[in-house]
Amino acid sequence: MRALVPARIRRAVRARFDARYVSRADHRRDVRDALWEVRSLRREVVALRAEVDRLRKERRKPAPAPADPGMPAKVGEARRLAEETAAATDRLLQSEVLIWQAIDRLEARLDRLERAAGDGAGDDRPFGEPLEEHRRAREMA
Amino acid sequence: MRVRWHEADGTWELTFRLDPEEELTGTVTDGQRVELATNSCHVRPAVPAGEVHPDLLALLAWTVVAPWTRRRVVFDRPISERLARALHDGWGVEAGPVGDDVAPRERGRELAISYSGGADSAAVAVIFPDAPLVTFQRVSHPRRPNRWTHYRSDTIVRLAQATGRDLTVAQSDLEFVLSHPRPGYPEHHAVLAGAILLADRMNLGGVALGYEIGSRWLGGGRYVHRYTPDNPMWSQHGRWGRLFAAAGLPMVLPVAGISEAMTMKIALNSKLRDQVRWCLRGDADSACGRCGKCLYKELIQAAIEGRPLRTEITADRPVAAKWQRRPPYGGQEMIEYGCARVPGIENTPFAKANEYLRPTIESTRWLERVYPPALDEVPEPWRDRVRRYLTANFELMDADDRRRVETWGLAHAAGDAEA
Repeated sequence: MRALVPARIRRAVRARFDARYVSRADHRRDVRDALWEVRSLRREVVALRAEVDRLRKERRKPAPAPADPGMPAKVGEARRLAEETAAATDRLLQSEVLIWQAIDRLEARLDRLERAAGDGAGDDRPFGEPLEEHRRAREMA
Repeated sequence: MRVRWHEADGTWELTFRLDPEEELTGTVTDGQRVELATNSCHVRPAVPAGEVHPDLLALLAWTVVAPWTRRRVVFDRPISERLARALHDGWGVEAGPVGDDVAPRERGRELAISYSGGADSAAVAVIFPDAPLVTFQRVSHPRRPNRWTHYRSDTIVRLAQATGRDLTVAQSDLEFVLSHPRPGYPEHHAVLAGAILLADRMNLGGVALGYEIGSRWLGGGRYVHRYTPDNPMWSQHGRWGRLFAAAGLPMVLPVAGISEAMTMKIALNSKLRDQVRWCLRGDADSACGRCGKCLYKELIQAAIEGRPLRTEITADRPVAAKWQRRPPYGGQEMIEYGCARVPGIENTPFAKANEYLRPTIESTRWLERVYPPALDEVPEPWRDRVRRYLTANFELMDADDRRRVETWGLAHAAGDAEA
């Protein structure tokens, strides 16, 4: 059955119905938002799983010792000591070279005196003495 | 100076004692003042040296003790008259004892390369692809704590091993006999310790080094920075050249006729490219990129590759300080070469040097050519190989180029004399 309804009333009724339902455009946006939500949740789940795996694998370490407020000073002190010790060692080693030089000089002088006191034949063997010194040094070592 | 060798389990220990007139302070052949730290050191080649000719032991000892020796040097075993004469003629020292029955060492047939892994010795290794390499590896001295651990001798050896070449490593602490200016070779020639000790075992008739034109002919490094045909360290007729020849082990400088840019070109275009390393501080993966040597070599590499400089070093860094001052510089010819070729040089740490030097491609083209007298100086039987390789890859210098070599640094020298 068809009945003529005035256009004014028809519009009013339709507007009333439309107001009770969501528009197409809103529907599309809602669906898109929901999808985005699902995707980001999926990413979060993956990240959380990775985190769980990492934590599972990680060995439990003891908590680090509380920072020693005196540490910087101790490090500086150790460095100073190391540098001064190294410099002192260098000087000792150099002194040792000079002491050997003095010993050699005295030995050479003794050798000359002994030869002079001996039969006087004392040939001056420039390359003989050091071999003897080397032998002595080896014995001492 | 009195010298003694003692061998035990393949390690050769050198001890020496000063004569009354000698002091802790000495002078290297290049004029550098050095100070003695201690009087012993060791050399340990990776293979036992076996029987070693006394002249070789004397030669090796001399590379360590020469700076401090004044009037005489006494070895612990007789040497040949020929070696004693070379020491006397070169340094004015009385050397002995001379053994009437000690024949001079006869030259062997082989050539070994003193290999540091840098571009220069890598270029030598390219020219002689079958020659064995001998590498010097610094190790700690039992009497001196090593305070210079940034020097990565382990890396250098690992890279040398990666070349796949016949390689012999000689470990040594001989650099620690120096206290001033820092541990280092007492004489530059001490780097040859391994090759000298193994010369008999390896049947060596020569030992090749990577000294290029700057070191051999232009007085480079810490030397006089001018043309030095009679360079006392590296010329064949100089005192060291004659001493090595007297020991039957002449020094061979295959790349003395070309510049560092050309040795780098040879090295980086070769199979050895991935193992070439001039930085002494980097780890196994890469050079440090922060030291002065990295900066200097980067300039050369950028020049031969025709690209801008890749560096994070700025002009205000201490390693770049010397390029902010006026010339002369050690290795100045390469600074000129780089400044003339690297695009955007005015925005690099070399901007100041470029302003002082004002080089052009034309004024630096001689650095891409071969200096002929350097070819004539290569001892036989290796001269021909060197000549063929270099002339096949580079042009020979013309008269104008040669004039640039032979007047190098003379203006500065004259200026110094007037000053």
